[in-house]
Amino acid sequence: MPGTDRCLKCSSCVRACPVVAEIGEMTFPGPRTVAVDAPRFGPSRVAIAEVAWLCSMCERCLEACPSRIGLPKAMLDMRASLFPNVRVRPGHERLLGNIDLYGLSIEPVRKVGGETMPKAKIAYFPGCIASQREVETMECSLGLLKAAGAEVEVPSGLVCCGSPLVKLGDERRCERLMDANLKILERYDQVVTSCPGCTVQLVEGYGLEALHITEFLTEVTGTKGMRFRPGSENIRLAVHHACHLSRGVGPHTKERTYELLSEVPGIELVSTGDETVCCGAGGSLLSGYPDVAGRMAARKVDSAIFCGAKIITAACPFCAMNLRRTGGIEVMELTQLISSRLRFPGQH
Amino acid sequence: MRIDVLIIGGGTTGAGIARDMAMRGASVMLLEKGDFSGGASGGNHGLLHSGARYVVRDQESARECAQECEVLRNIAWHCIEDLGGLFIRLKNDDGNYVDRFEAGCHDSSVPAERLTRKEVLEFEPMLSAQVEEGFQVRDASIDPFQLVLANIQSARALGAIVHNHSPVIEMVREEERIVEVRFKDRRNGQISTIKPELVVNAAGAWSDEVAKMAGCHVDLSKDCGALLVMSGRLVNTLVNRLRPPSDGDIVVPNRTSMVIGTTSRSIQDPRSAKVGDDDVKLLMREAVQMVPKLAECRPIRAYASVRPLVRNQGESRRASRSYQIYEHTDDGLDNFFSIVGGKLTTYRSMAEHLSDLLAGELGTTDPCRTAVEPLVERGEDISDLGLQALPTLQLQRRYGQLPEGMRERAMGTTSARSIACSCEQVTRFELDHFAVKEDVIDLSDLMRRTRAGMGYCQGTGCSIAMLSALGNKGGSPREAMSRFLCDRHRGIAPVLQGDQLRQEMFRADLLKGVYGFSIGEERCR
Repeated sequence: MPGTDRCLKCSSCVRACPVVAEIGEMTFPGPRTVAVDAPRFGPSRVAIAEVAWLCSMCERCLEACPSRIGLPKAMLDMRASLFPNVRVRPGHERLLGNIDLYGLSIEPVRKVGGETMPKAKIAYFPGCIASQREVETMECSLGLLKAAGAEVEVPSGLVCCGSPLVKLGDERRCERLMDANLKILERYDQVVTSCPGCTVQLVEGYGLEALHITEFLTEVTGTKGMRFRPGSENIRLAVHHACHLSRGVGPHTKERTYELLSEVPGIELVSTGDETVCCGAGGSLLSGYPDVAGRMAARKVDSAIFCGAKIITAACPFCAMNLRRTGGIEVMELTQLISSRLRFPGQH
Repeated sequence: MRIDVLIIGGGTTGAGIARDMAMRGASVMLLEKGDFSGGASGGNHGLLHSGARYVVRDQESARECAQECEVLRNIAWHCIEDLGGLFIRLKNDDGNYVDRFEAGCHDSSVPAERLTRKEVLEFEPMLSAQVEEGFQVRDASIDPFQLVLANIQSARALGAIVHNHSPVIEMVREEERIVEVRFKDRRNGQISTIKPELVVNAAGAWSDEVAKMAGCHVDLSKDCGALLVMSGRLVNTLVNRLRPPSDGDIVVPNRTSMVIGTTSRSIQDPRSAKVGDDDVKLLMREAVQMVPKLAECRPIRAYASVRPLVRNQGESRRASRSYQIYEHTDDGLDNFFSIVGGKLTTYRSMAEHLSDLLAGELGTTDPCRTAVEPLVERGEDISDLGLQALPTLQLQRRYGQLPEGMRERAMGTTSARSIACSCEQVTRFELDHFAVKEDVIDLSDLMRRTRAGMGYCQGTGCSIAMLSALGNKGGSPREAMSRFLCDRHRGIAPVLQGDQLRQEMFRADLLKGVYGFSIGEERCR
């Protein structure tokens, strides 16, 4: 129960909303109107459909609300109730088409996963983006996991985790995907992921023992097995904390990220002050409103450049992809960045 | 200045008569002491009766409602939400009443369709599991403020002169005629005198006082009813208890809230109408039996208003809701008429009845056209104004056709996209539009026209926006704000608990801490 009756009209959520900050209250009225005000209008709430998908589900409003209202959940409920009767955005239509055709949110370009019968106890769940677009993320993650001494494998036959469909409000399609994934993942003791969106969905939606790779590398294996190249040149690095990681999986993941980065030699962290602000990729905003997602990403990149950073890192392939679209700065997903400084066998 | 008909009272009845007579070509003037729909016209459920509530006890009223609710669906389409109604019988309710109800509906031509328990629950899943059976009827919810305003707008368009905030202070009687009526315009304190042909007393709960001014008498019983406003909408149908009309047996979803009504208590002075703690408890206890989830729902405010009832058939609940017209010939007057009683749903036919009488006196032969000409023409599309969709829909729901001049000014202005009251999705533009009207001198006036401030936060942020729209109109802004906040506080006080208490603390802190406005009770006394 999101508890929307507790709202006091304090506007904290509106002030916290990064979409409102970017495009203004007159275009997107903010979490309060979608989650709290609109449902009170009975049947005429359908008019909110025009803006209900303009939220990136960054959960900043949840953090800001003094009444602890489950605003993101209430907005998802609103989307789910509207979904059967709305004409979806063109980008969402493509996404749904891909789900129906390939079981993935994006059109696949390669085949992923070899294991049909589990050999290892731990499964790596790459997710649509890391398996098909940000492929280095998957390769580097597997490499780091191996270096840290974990035996993992990528099962074959995995489909989209369903998180984009939860965000769209399409419960029917989501259930189909979950059934397919559960049959495979149930055979493993543990699932490790690269994508925070997948992690949240696997934990909360599926009820699985799933850890994000930042958690796994710090809490389960430790980083002792990783050997770094000495004498690497210094880089000035800005960190972007993915919303679904720092708020979805939990605030401890921010510490885990810094823990991992502290192991890597030659990194000079630059503080931007907006590390936890959304880049605009999530909540189906990137697929539905790429322009808005792009503007939000550009704002983050701008502030990183302003603070003197040369590279931005994010422990999320989806955020990395969105930030990279701006073209303003080098973007490296966290495992990619760490891997780039690993010492190769035989290297001194 | 020659005035054919002077109407005293700007509620539904008065506004209805003004429109009717203006349509028949009479020169009409209407005077209202406060703002329009300030009495029972604004203080009710906003329930457009299908007539079903009266089929057992008062078939005449039932028949009248059944006809009039269809007429209003047509002429007042813009302020009606056609949700339909249910009459439900719960487990321990008298089963014999059901047959009498069904027979009554049949005899008084009130359409009602019998539903099984399963059908009722499919229709409204939030209803109690104790439901045994029910009837589907043609109830609807109506916005009484907009109904009155639309009547006035229509009357004005036909040449009627309408003043609010203008109490009548004296009537001069010469033999069997009222020759002069003096009123004071509260805006500037000016006293004017008019010489009307005919005077109509449509002052509702105040009609005995008006009659006294003319030196005559109306027999009126005043019945105070309390209503409770709950946040949000658990039901999207009007829910009535299938039993003899009683306290707390109606739940009306209206706009962004549900209104639970009502209680019934006889009082002497309409100014003393008040909601007691017992009223709130009683309404909640009864309504929860029909919609159990209401217990978890947040009450917004409670209000009380006074129904003016005709005294001929006993008092309060058992009194007929029908109306009575006094020609005051016994009092020795032949140009003074009083109309007492009736209900919101039948306001138009009451107005027609009296207007026929007035037209006879004036010698006009034009027939009544109020039943066929819509108050607001249909069909204007406002989706091109570049507003957000939800406010656009609410604009249409509030005013039907946009008030004159609004379209031109709305196009391309940012204030048309900026929301001043998010509870009711009122744009800043609407506030600005109405704030400059002569009728509006107070924040409450602005609220009645736009609904800003009616939501669950009761004016936390929008009161500031309203004040800024009004500027210096109506005297000191601090005083104006104080009056408005006290008025709001009076409604919140009976339900101060849970979330509404937190809300009120926040509101008080914000308005006092940031703006220095006091909303303390001491100012309200």
